[in-house]
Amino acid sequence: MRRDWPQAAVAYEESVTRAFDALGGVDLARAAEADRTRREALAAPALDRLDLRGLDPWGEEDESAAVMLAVRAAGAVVLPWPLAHELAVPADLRGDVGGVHLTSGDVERLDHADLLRDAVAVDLDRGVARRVTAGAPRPAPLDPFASGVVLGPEVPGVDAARVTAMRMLLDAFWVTGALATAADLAVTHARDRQQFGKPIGKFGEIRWRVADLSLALDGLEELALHAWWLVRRGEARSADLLALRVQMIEAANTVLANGHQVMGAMGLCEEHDLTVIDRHLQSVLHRPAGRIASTGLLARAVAAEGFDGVYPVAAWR
Amino acid sequence: MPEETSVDLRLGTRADALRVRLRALLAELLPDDWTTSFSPDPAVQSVVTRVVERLAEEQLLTLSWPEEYGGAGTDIWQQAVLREEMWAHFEPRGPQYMGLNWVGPVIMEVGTPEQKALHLPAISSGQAVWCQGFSEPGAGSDLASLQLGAELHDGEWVLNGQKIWTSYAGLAQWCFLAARTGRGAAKHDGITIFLVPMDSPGIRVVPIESIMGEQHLNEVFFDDVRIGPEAVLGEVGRGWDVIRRVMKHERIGISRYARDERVLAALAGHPSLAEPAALHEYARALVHARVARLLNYRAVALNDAGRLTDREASIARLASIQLDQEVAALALDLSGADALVPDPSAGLLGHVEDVFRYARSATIASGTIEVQRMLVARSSIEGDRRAS
Repeated sequence: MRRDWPQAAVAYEESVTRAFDALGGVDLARAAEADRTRREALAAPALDRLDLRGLDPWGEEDESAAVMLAVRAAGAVVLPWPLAHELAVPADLRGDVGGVHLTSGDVERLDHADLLRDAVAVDLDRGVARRVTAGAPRPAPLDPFASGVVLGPEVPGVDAARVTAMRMLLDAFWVTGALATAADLAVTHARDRQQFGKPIGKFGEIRWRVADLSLALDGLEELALHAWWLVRRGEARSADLLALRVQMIEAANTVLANGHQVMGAMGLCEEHDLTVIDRHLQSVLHRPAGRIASTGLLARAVAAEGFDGVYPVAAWR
Repeated sequence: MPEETSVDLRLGTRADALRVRLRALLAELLPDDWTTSFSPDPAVQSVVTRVVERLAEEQLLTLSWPEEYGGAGTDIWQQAVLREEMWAHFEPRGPQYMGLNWVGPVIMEVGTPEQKALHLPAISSGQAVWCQGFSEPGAGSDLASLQLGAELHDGEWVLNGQKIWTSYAGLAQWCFLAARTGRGAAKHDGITIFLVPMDSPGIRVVPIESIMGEQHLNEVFFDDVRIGPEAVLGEVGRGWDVIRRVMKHERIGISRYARDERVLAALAGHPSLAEPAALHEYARALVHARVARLLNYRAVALNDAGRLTDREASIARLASIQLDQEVAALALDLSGADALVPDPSAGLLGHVEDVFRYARSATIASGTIEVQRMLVARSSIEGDRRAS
């Protein structure tokens, strides 16, 4: 077994992280929420300087790994740009399709729909892609870059299963990055914040929360690596990607809830990065389906496909 | 995809072949209703003997040992497969797993030539049963506060005190005993490890009835037990160093997720899964099982590379022990009230009550869940420590 990411991809992730930090890190998300034009004015040029939007996640191993780690780095600052949406478009379709949204049933709003030219929405239930027409911005605290949308006719030539798998994979890396930042904030606070004459990280209850959020995050990291490897080998089935999505959502709930609890009231403030990360992640955690609905999709996929493991689960429907 | 990639998460053809071989062998040797080796029942112990002898015959018993001690020179993933298949099949090596997994390896590391000559052949041939004399009524998670005393009189060590929660004490010929031989600046100082014959005069084993069944828990009393200096393992007063070596070998010793995956696979298509809520719980457990396995594989890989810290080691354990209880509760719930009584004719699912009872100990045995969380948090907040 070899489980270390390619060195070239790791180096690229470091350069992406430096570039986003130079733009202010999570402050860029705050700025874009206050003024949507900042997405095009600041985020897009940075991505272009990194040649990130042109990379192919289905490419050679180094390139594919670089995409995953770069998306993780973007997620670490909840970059106000639909990067996963763009990168989930296969290279041969990028001239015609500007991005991929995932949906489950009818939708009225989608995140960053106003930015993406010629985007499609792939319906998980029906396995078809439909053209997205964006309407007016309709932001909300938990959906800061939402726009109204109308879904048009089916778009032929889009391999729905393929782009769905890639979008789910990219989402998981995005969320992994964001949760790593949230976990770092919580751990740093546990180390630095003094109450009752000692760091709060000396208290058992705080330590348990740190342990639980660490377990959730590490579990997601390992499962994302595994899913990426399965996709690379052409062995990923829908149950594998849905399992990743379920773990992603559960991990996010654990990390964010425990992170807030460790941070206390400070973490609830808009000036604190944890709150921005929390709010800005909710879109990906609920689109195309939240925890319960995603678990339902996984359950049906397991029954229909089985599930691989040391003792594989056989399909029974 | 190129042949050679940076990332390859397969365990390798040798590990895969070993898994096939072990399953065939266990299918041949184990009765259909095999769920425990924790029993003094001669029928159960004869199965254990049969399995151990056959494994020894096929050089599979000491698979993980170095070749110089009769091992097979295997890679870490073959060893991982052995752990998985043994645990998935209710550890049919019985109490031998302790000798093989950590008593033998620690004796290799710090034992005298005489100790190696005495103990290693007996362990590698499956002839010696060991128990671990660590916990005491006043020293559980806080093991370093142990009080069982060892005093030197006329060239012999005299042991007095009590151990508790000692698995297999009633079957064991040897005890890997931690005793206090002195006091130092820290409470970890002054502990010494002894390799004690269990038939020594003055040792009394009292079984404790528990939810887990027979042989799981015992009290062991030491009253003026006299042993020679040759029984000391490592340096007198430096037993904590030896205990840390034991902990290192135990850290990735139990592959609980493998049995959980086996139980989950057996539940596939169960009529109770027609209920959507049940199917959802089942699907979640499958995700958690995969995550636990991957986190354990990470620990194995990092350990092999000398990069394993307390953080990753304990995260793997946390995932496994919580999974164990989740799957046990789920299996019993899905199986319905009739499953509260074992049904030897129903294969693995006829014994979910046994799985459930045993899983109660998962978050307590070999370092409680609280200790594991503390280790993860300490490592995260105060800096990583290499597991050693």
